[in-house]
Amino acid sequence: MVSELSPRAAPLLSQQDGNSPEPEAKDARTAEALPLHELLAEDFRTHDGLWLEPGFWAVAVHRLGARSQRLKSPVLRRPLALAHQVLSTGIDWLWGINLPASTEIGRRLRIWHHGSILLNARAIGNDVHIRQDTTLGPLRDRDASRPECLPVLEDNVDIGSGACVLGGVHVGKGSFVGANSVVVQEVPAGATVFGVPARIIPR
Amino acid sequence: MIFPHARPRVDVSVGDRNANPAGIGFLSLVKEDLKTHGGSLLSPGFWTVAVHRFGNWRMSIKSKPLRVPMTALYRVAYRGVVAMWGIDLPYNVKVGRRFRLGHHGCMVLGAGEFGDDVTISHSITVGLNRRNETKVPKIGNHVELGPGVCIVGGVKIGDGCYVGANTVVSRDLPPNSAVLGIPMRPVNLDGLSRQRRDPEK
Repeated sequence: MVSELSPRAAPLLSQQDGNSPEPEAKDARTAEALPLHELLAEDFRTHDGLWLEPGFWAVAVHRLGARSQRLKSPVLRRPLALAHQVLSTGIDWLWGINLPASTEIGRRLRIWHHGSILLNARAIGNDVHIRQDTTLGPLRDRDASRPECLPVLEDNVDIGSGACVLGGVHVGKGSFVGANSVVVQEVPAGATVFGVPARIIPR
Repeated sequence: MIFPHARPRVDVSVGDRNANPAGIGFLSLVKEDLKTHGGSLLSPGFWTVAVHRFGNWRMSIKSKPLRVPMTALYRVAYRGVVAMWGIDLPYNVKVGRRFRLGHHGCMVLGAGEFGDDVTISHSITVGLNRRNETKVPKIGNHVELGPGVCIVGGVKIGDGCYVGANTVVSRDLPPNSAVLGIPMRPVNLDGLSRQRRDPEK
């Protein structure tokens, strides 16, 4: 099976299939602590080294916006904030990926495909995978700017396509949200949830 | 019938008149829509609603030679909105005031009637149930539709209803009800928003 894939994909696969953790997994630094170029290189590797992957550009522009907010000098901050606004609007209009600057994201966020992705969350952890048509946001539209009404995704969460996580809920570490599910209640760590509204599937 | 595959005649207005909300001018209506979308000119929802209002406003021009260029402009703008953002809102769908479209993508609002202060999200379908059916949904005032909602056929959604994400609405909703699920069930919104996990755990 590996031979059918491109030679560039093969080492990636063998690295993930093995029991040994990825080299990055040992690195416990947060996304804020990492230098921007290392962070972007890691995001690029997370998106399989594909330059035209919409998810990579959405994450990269978000990193640019988050870094520019930290700058003290307005001489650099203002043009960068403007560039972030222009680029994020372009990504939103072109690919429908809306990743607001207010969402705090961890390392190695993978966004698969594009279209109708709205990620208005309080925080997204490390190694989270998100697919097309995913909505993270408040239960009611009027609460869109209240952080306590926005969801939190913990590390290693996997979200299926078309799923919605709404309201101030936590999705626990390593849990899986099935396609087209609607999560409106807490999801414990390691759980698999499915359905509208989502229920825990016993294993 | 000459065209056996022609679209069925649906219960919406045929679009021969200006169906914008009465009692407010075109420009102040668009200004109000801009305010509804957070005052942002970068909001796709605002442009969609503005094009819709323009499409209705041009029908108030009685002289045909004057209307033709407006119609051409409207059609280009309408197709542009559909191609760019995937929001299909034809002008003959009746839309009330302060209609808010959150985000964009895969919104088919091809038939129906919307009241005032309606808020909707992306991936929503409001329209016909199946081919050769002509009944369209009617949505009341102060209604909120979550992402992924499907409302098809001749159902009526009462004032102040909340339809949760990915719900398929299959029957009429009384005023101030909240539903979620496939098949849809009543949901207690206050109970959901009060629920919090202990931060210590």
